[in-house]
Amino acid sequence: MKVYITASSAITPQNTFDSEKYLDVWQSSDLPYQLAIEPDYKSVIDPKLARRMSRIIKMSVATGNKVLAEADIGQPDAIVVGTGLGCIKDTEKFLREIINEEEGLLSPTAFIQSTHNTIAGQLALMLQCSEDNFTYVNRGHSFENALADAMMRIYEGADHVLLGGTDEMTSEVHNILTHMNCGGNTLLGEGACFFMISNTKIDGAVCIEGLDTVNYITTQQITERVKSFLRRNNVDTNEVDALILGIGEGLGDPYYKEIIQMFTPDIPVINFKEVTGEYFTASAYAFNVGSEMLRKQCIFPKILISGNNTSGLTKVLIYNHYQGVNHTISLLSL
Amino acid sequence: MQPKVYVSGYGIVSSLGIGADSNFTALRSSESGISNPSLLGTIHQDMPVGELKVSNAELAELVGLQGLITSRTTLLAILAAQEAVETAGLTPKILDNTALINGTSVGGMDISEWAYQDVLREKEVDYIPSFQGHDCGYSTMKVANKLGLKGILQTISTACSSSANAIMNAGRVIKSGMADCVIAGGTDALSLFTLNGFNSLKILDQAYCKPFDEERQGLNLGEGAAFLVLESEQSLNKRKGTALAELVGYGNANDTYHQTASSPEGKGALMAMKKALSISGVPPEKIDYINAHGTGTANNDLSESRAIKEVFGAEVPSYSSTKAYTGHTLGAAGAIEAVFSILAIQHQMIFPNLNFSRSMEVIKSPVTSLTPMKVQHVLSNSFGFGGNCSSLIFADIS
Repeated sequence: MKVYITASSAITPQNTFDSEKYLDVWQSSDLPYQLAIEPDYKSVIDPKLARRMSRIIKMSVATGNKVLAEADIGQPDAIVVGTGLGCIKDTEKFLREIINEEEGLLSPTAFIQSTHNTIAGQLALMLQCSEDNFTYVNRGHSFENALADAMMRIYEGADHVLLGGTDEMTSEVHNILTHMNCGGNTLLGEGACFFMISNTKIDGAVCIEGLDTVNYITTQQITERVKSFLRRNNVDTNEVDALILGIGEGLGDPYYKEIIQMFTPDIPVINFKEVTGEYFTASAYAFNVGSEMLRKQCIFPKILISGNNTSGLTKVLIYNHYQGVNHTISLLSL
Repeated sequence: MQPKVYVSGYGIVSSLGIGADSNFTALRSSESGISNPSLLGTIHQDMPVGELKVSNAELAELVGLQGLITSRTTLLAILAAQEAVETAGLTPKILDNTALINGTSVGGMDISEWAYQDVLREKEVDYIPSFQGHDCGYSTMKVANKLGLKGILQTISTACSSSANAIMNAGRVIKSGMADCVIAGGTDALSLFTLNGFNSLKILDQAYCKPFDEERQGLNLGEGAAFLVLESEQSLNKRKGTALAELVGYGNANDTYHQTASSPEGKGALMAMKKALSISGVPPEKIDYINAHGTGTANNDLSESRAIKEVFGAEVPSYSSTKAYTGHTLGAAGAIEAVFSILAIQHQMIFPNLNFSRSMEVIKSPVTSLTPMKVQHVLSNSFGFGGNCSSLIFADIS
């Protein structure tokens, strides 16, 4: 059984939400981290509801709503969301109130909105969707957990699953993560990417041929892992038309180097973290940009770091790792 | 025919103690684990909680992580998961291919909330040990590393139904053939964040909680961790393991009513129970015992009671909430109560709903004393913020 992305939407630090302007005008910023470009929400979220939503909820609901509209699905069979830190802004806010008020009288609002599953819960509430509702929070595999679940639901018989990967950044979280050196050389970022995962191929649908996640693998093992992934999916290395990698600023990173060396030197190499920056669910965007590349038959020059495309795109390989620990391999095809 | 999913081991840590034996002893003798907090550094010193009276330093020593800053959530999880592995008798070779599905609501908040005070006060902070365990996935990774697990890792955070969903997912991945052996459960330590959060919602009982009592005043917060070892029949036969119970049903539904409150009629709860019954093929009249979510809040117990009435009609099975023993352990509650459900099956007895005196109009009274009886099928409910409702059904296989 095949699994398809039948609609996809992303809010990232570049222009990705408006399909017409997708990655066309490049934004540069002086901020210490990459801040998502939020659209005018009025067209996608009821303003009465939007007023009560935090940034991560608004970004998620906007991309979620857009995907539902694009796929023309009123009620998905499940809502599955991956988020590394969840509603961290409200978490931070409530924690600050506890500390400032020394555990005195507190307003519950931030606490109510702070739980990781507020995003999936809010979508269920808006859609009045009583079906399965899951939230995964698994470090650099938060989105991958959610994607694997969505794929399993298609195997279990679901028709359409609303899937998301989403994280927000705040200046305080940025400060803490910087002290922890969480981004390496790559700027930290944020964003929300939602997808409709379906069991049937419609016009413009992109197939997710497979997904492999692994932890603590060495650079020596990574090429073998990718080779066996491709073998399992009956794809030869020379059939891969482009690589979508989470390199960021880590051009010297041995994992990405090893992967690139598996392919011919002129294979297009896309650096998706150029768009998103680094965060727990950044890899969700690789699936968005991969779908866009296949659908539009387009290599976006701003994120192309080497190679060129001459023969059209039918298969693109996604590879990302989070801090050398959580590795992700996937293949999209037209 | 769908493959069966067996429970072959379990481990538990709660305010009733470390290990299944001490938990069972307390359950059998109606000894609650609720007390005033002595380890959690809160100003709410008279707010009863289900606190395990073992310090972080002592817990770290028990799991061999002494001298390191490790979240209590992670320490509790390692202890419970280790016991689960031991009782199931999983060898290192099996563990190499074993998956781990962990549910937690606030992860390493117990450490980061203290470190953040220092950040705000511009004191010197050792950032990496203080904050590396904040995210929920950290506890999963630490348990996996400690036990040498190299299979699938998942972390679920659906508030108070997190670990029920972890167990449900174990059933799903085993049935789909994606894994043969899964350790699934959840963990949450007491924290200032959750204690003050529930306090701000005004749903904490200042005294001992009394679930399903007409005059219930709210919940007591608790802490703990529990994990089950779940296996396919093939995996169990191959390694000659012993099945203790079977996971026959599970259901997940969203209440679609409010971020924190349950719908008056318990729509999500009703759907979750119905889905679990439908998957199990067990007719409602064959459910012998319900381990209810029963937090002790006015809202939950009323909507859960209505949903139970709707599912079971005039023949509501024996039921109780064990939260007056442990407190509400949030992300760990589903797994802790799954262990209690399996203990009920193994010992053919059901555990009392403590502190109960006056029955609600909407439903018959819960079981209030230790009751030996035939326990073939147990339904266990877990409901959470975000409208997340989950039900599990375990069956006796002896």
